[in-house]
Amino acid sequence: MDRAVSTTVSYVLSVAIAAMLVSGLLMAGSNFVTDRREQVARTELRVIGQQVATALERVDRLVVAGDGVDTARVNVTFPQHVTGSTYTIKIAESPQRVLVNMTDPDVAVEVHVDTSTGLTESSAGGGTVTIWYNGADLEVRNA
Amino acid sequence: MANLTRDRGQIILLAAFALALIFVSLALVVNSAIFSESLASQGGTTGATTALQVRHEAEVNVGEVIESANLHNWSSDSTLETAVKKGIENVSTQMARQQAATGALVSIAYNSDTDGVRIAQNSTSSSTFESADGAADYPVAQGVSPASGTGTRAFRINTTLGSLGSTNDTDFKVEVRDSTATGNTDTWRMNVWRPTGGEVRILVIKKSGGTVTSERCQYAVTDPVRIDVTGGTLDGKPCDALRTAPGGEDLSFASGAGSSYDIRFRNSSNIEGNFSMVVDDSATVPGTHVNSGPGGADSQPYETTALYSVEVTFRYDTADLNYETDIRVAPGEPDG
Repeated sequence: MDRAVSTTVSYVLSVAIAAMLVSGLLMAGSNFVTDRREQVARTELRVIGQQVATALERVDRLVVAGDGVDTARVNVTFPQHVTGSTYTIKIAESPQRVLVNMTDPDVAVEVHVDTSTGLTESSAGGGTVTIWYNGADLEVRNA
Repeated sequence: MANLTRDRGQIILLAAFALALIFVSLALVVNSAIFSESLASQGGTTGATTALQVRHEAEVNVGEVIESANLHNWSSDSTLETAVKKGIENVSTQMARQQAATGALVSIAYNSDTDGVRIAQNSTSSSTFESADGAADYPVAQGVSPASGTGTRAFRINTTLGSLGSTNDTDFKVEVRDSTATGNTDTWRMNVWRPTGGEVRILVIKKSGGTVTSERCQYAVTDPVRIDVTGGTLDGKPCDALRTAPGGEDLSFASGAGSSYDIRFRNSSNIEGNFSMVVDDSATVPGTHVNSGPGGADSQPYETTALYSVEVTFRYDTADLNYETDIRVAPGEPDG
């Protein structure tokens, strides 16, 4: 026969141990998911950044080839959300690069570009993005 | 014993549900990663390459319109302009129809033109390049001072091996000299002769700002000998003497001769055949040496009104790309 043993206490103890083990497992699981989400967001933003860079170089070729270019414009479509959040695409003048960042998770990606035409500081959100030549430089905006 | 049968494992069940939810959200996140990877492998459209290819086609087609108008409609400046405008409209309609099949809109519109003068000799029999009054050394065009471009284009010579001189004293020379300079300071000169039986040699000497650069090219050719002076080829093969020197210096026609130059032929009795060139309107063509209009004898050079260059506006539109630009078309101008 068990002495000085209360069923309630042993019950509570086993539940508490089980709960601690389980919550440990859940925390590890959700950390894992957050990590993966950040990695995925980074990869996607990098892809978007490189596509914007390609489009910039494409418009640059069109501008350089003409004798007096009036219009040179390219539209590219990107997904509106990346892992459930919105993001911003920015182009920076010097050094020439494309910056894509989002706040949740906090990820920022930078892609270098090399164009003969200058770039103007401008930004656009996700969705359909237009890269165009404004007479002097290349600019980005939402279509 | 406590009764633990029915409620056993509640926490484990809850934990299992929570983990399942977490893994489902992980699956959603990974799914968007797969989408972005497929986006990356698409590689973007080749829109810009096609736009530039079509632009080049448009430039070539408009160039042919200009050449055709210069050959057939040279009676006056206004006839030339009308002919070129109609020709460009035709080119625009045809290219638009062609490109519409690939889902693109193309249009080419005439903007303006620059007048010029075509100097040529059309003999089919063997006649030398001597002037209308029989001189072997004479100026062909004086004071060529274009506002843009090089001032001379499409300078082509067709000759025969037998008619060329065989030493470099009797060779045919085309001399381009700065109109405002005295002496031999800023000049570009091309010598053409036949050093041995079946070969033609071209020697180009350029004197500019005190530096002398020269280059030669030589090929074995058979009749007819075709020289494209502004295009830089001899018998269809590239001739470095008319393009760039080994040190990288530009040797194209009239380079180094300044912004206003004269063109002279020397020893023109040592070459037979025909030639053609188009110079900018700013040039003066001496009427004693070059007939006005092709009415005179076949063996004499003549000049007619011509178009030197044309500016057009080229538009190319697809669903994702808009491109509009001005193009200056001057077929046969040296690329230098």
